[in-house]
Amino acid sequence: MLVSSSQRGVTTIGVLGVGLLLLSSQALALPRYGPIEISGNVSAQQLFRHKDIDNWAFIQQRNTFKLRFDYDMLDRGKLFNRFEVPFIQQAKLLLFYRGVYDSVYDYTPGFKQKDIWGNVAALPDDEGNLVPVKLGSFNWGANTKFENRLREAYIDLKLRDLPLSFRLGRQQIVWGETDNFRMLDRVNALDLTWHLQQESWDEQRIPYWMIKGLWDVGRVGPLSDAFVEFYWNPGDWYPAKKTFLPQPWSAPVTNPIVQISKDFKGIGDLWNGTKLFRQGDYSRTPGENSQVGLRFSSMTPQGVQFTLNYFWQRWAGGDDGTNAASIQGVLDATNQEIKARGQLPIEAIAPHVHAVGLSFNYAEEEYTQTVYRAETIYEFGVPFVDASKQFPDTGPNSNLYGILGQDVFGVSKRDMWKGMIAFDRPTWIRPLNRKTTFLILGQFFWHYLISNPQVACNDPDDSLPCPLSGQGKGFRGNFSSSGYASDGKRFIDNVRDWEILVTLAATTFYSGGKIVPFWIYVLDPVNSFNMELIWMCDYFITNNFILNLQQRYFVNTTREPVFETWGVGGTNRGRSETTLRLTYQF
Amino acid sequence: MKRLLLLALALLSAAMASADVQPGEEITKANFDKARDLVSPGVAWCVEHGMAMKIVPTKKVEWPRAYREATEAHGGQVRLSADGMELENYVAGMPFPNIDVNDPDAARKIMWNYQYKPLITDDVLMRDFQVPSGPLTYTEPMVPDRDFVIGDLRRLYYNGRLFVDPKPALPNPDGIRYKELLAPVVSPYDMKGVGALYNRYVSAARQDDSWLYVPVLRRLRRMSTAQRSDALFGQDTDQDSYWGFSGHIAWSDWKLLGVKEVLGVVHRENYRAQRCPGGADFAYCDNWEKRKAYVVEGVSKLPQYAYGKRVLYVDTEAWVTLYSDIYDKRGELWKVWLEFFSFRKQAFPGSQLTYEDEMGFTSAAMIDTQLAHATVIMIPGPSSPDPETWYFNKGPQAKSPYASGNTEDVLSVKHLIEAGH
Repeated sequence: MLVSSSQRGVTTIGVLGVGLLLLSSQALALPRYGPIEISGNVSAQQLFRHKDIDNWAFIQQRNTFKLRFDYDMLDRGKLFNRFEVPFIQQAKLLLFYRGVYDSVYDYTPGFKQKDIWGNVAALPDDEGNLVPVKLGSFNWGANTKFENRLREAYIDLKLRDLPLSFRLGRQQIVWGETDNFRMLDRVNALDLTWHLQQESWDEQRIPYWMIKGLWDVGRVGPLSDAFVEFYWNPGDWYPAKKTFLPQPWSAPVTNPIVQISKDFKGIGDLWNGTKLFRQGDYSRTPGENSQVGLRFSSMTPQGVQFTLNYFWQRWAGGDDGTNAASIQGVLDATNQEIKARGQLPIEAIAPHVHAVGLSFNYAEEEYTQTVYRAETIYEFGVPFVDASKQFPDTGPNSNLYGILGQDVFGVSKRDMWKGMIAFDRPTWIRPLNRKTTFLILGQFFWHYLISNPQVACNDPDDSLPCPLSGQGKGFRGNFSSSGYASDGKRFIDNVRDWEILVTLAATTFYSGGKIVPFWIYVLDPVNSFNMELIWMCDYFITNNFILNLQQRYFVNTTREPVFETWGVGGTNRGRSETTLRLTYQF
Repeated sequence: MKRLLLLALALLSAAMASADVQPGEEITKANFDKARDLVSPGVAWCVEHGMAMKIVPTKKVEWPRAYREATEAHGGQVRLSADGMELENYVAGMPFPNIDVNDPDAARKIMWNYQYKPLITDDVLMRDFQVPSGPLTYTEPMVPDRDFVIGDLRRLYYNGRLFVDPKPALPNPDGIRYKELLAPVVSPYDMKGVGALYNRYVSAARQDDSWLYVPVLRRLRRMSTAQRSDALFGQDTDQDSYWGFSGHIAWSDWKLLGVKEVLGVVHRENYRAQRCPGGADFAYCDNWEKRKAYVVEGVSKLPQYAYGKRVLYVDTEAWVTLYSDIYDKRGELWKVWLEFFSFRKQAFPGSQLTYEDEMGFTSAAMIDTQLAHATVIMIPGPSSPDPETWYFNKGPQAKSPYASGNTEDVLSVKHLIEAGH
């Protein structure tokens, strides 16, 4: 039954695709038909994971169809070129559809994966014995294999008599200066099940139904090009979407809730009906789930373009590399309550967080011919797992809370300061390319956790990772202490005061833009110098047919687990991969 | 001895006559020697690789009346600053209407005249034009590896304005000379929505400001001025080469190489660009006429500049670049920029827009002679939906499906963000 629905999906996408290709073949140069523009692409991405040269697996065969529809519905005050509409000067409609089928969920038997501690990914069976799991161990539903979604649907309205415009509908909003790092780019959480952070975030942000406005201020004293941009998400918000092993792009752990639920005799639901990576203890109403943001942008007479930003949002769950909490223990839950509710004393959380930020860019032409970018943000009240907030009667031998006591704690909130400084420099390297410059891009990121408590064991005479007495105090990261490496060694994922990441990238053009290579190097100097090396190349076989080849290598300098949360070599140990993607665009 | 001298002069003049071209002739590779002295080495390269030139009689290019009057009113008062980097007392019209080729500042004055030329004084909009870019085989038509459709290219001047209020200058506390908006790229899909904004300042002390909207990032990227000479997205054209030359006059050293009779295109016959047939479709085969041109060499002062030098052929009457030869750092011919102007009051017979003065409609091409690759800028192209395509000095009325007028509101960072997908 599943196979037949898969086939139906593929057939539908195929028919749509062929129809549009035929349509587009008549107007390859200009995809416009009066006030309507139709454009898009179809692509097939093959992905091979290679832990080493002899050990590889075919882990993705994703077929994607994108269709974009632009409609100039109101111009010069006339709707559909006929009806006079007061107050509005221009209105445009954009619809963007993405349909996806990943055939790998239908035919692969799966492949062996290890968790971050080096153990083979496993889940308990009905008797509580750990059984290795592979992709083929599950009957994946259509929601995993398919996507059939109007990703974006909005109307742009420009008012006639006020310097004000709106974008109303399902959309993405991106502020800030970073390339693929989350700081001021925080309006839309990421869907990290798509391909972790390995692809353009344009593909991975979760679009929400929102109202965005832009007020053209013009000039403010010596400042030019000033505007105020604001948004309101009236409740259509979800936290970052993550998943667990054995899915290929998951946190490198199996679902701890499944494991805990076995210990609790099948109780799998979270407290208050919350859902991990999906829903905290609030309703999806404007009253409880609203998010707002505001920024002022302008340029100084010296040519520095800057923005001042404010956000009031729910915490998305650490899709920005913060080792923050997504769940908290309900520490005051009683044994009786748990049985009556049939819910684990664990709650998915997404508290509101205030954030203020600043960004700027400046092109220094005289001495360095370089564009400098910077961005910084201060967050108030980020939630962290706090080992000092423990279930009562916690201890290795406690019947009720035994398993929870080692893994689940309460939450404490702290402020964080995060920032980035970056440069973009077009540079001639004529021995490598006589025709075009290399654009060299460097970024330096930091996270600083303010008032991070010291880590300690319950018994002051015990030492980390507290094998005798259990954990006493201090913040814990996402990979908490119950994990054991394959050699039985125990580790604690401490939350560090400072986290740092450095990226260096370069790109250029060859053969008149036909060949576009890109190189990226990512280094996390704080966590055992784990790193990532990427090269990718777009080859335009024709204007409409593109071949993309890329390889990513995740590198660790130690055999021990590396608890980094940027998603570099530690999280992705053993996940080096090669991608081959073919795209036809119209 | 005197008789011998006369004989030699007669032979020389006969030889010169045979090297001349006449209206009605078509110059091709086969008979190109007749025209070799009338074109630049870059244009010679084009003819030798298949471009044909139909020779027509020379016709005068008329300045717009308002420009002529402004030049008469203000032309005498303009001075070069002591360092030659800026104009003083400029209001409108041509800054230096009388060029003395023996003046040590002649080259710079010619280039300042070029900067403030009569072609576009207030604003311009070009809509939905096509820019194929591809390799050259010289025998078969180009198969573009990148085939761009540009939604709008707009330029709004802040000073020297003659047609659209406020005149002669917009309120200008930032000292802007012009703003230029290239947005959005309509096609191909991987580039859809890309947009660029450039601010040029009157003062040479302030470098351009440039931004690029990158849809895949969904944000604006600040650009370095060093990228103005870099081939955008790998195709052949660069920002500084638009219109033959669009760099800041003050950031190059200029030398007048001479005043020369040359062939150039200022009365193109076909409004909708007609590329040459076969393997010569890197250029247009159209009407060429004899023109008088200043030949000016420019060497950039910017350390990251792509080119060694440019040699511009600036028409002494229309003050447009007829073509520009661009050399690499080793002094070898690298690229050629060709302009194919058509000065006329109507874009085409039956056009809904008739101007009081002649306007300079143009299409262009840039050929990389070393890579054997070309980018052809067709304004309008064969698929351009709006036959008018060009809108000169229309200000708020210069509307397109993408934006509502050549106004400060549209040529702004805010607009790029507002319209960006």
